[in-house]
Amino acid sequence: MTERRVLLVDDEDSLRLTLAANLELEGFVVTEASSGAPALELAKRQPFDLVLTDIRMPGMNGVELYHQLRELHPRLPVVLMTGFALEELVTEALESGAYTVLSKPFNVEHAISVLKQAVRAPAVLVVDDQDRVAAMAAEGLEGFGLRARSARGMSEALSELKAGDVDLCVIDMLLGEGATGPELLERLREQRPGLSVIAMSGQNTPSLVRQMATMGMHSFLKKPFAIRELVRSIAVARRTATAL
Amino acid sequence: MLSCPPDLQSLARLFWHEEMASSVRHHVRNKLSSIRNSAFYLRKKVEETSLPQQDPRVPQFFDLIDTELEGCAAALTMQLPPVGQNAPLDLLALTAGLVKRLTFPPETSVELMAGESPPAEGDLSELELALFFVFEYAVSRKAGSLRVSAGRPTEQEALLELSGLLLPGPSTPGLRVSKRIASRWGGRLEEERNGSGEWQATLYLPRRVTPP
Repeated sequence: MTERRVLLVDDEDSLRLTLAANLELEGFVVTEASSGAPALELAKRQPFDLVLTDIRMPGMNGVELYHQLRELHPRLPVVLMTGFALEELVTEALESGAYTVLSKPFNVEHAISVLKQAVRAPAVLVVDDQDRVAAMAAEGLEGFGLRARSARGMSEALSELKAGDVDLCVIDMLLGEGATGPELLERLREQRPGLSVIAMSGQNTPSLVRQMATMGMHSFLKKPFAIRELVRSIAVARRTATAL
Repeated sequence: MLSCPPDLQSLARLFWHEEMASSVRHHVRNKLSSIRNSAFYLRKKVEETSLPQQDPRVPQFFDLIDTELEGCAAALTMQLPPVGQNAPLDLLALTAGLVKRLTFPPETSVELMAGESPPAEGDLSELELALFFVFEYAVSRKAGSLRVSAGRPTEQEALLELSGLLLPGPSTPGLRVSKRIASRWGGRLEEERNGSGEWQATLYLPRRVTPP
């Protein structure tokens, strides 16, 4: 198995100690840092596949650390943790391209599943019947440091999914030639049962939205939407996703 | 330091309590995380032995620890409810009303710039408190002068900008209360420093609000 190197950053010694032990049980190679500045130094000197950091820490907070890490390693997945139910830093993290934010005290088994997925740096697939719309959304996501690809319609989407690195699809409700989002989702799920999905539409399609909801769609975005909204929806969806 | 106007003091106490409760919740969640992590590790290690077969209470008690921890975490989620969005909001009029009731240090001047909004409606004292703590922070960081302006409101948002030359410093509990209130009212408070080191705080709020 490939080594998975994690940089774990938290100022709470007991939390770091116990979480590192569990990550090591799962085969991660863990390097610990008790605050942002030494974490950044470590990230400059050695390669990591994933960073797991607390948000509220003395000195540099986790979101600042995330921004600085992104300057160094734009594709490095960063998962943040927080003990605050609501805070502006969480919103900032979710909207700026962090992989996801986990709320403490999290279920360890679930958190490990999320981290195993994050370490693969999976891609988002945007599917729309209009090339330009799908490509622009994918480019927008790339601008936030996410890996993203685009597909025009059902057959392209199905073949893109075969590449194997996609964990989440953003699907338009109306895909041209009579094809709909729910139909595509059904086909995609035949290949990948646990695939996460965010739906989007520029038209009034309440019955399709209801259908997608019953199929476990994570959220629905009404076009036109800001890419930041999509980035946030992806990060929130990835918080609840299980490893594929 | 700025003194809180008497009519806002009881509200300030309420939000101090909320701020303290938030710190306690954060602290407890961290501790619960360590306990949960420890239990998970011990369960994995015990599962490698014959103990779970010898005594079924062992896995049962690990389940119990996890369930109880989840219950504790759920009990920590109570928050003040969000505020609705119906009545129009004029942040500049609100700020002007607050500024009249504050006594600024002699070296601090406050310049208010005109806006174009209908008058404020209902009880907006929470927002006044949020603004008070932003002023308090600015004054405590030795601002020579403060400029306050209400940006031309967009369809969705009312803007208020405070700017001035401030010494860098850590966030204060008062500023955290301001952010909490902004969030409760469906908005946000953002701080930044521009190229010349000038501090700017911008309060974004929905264009229409329903005071609690």
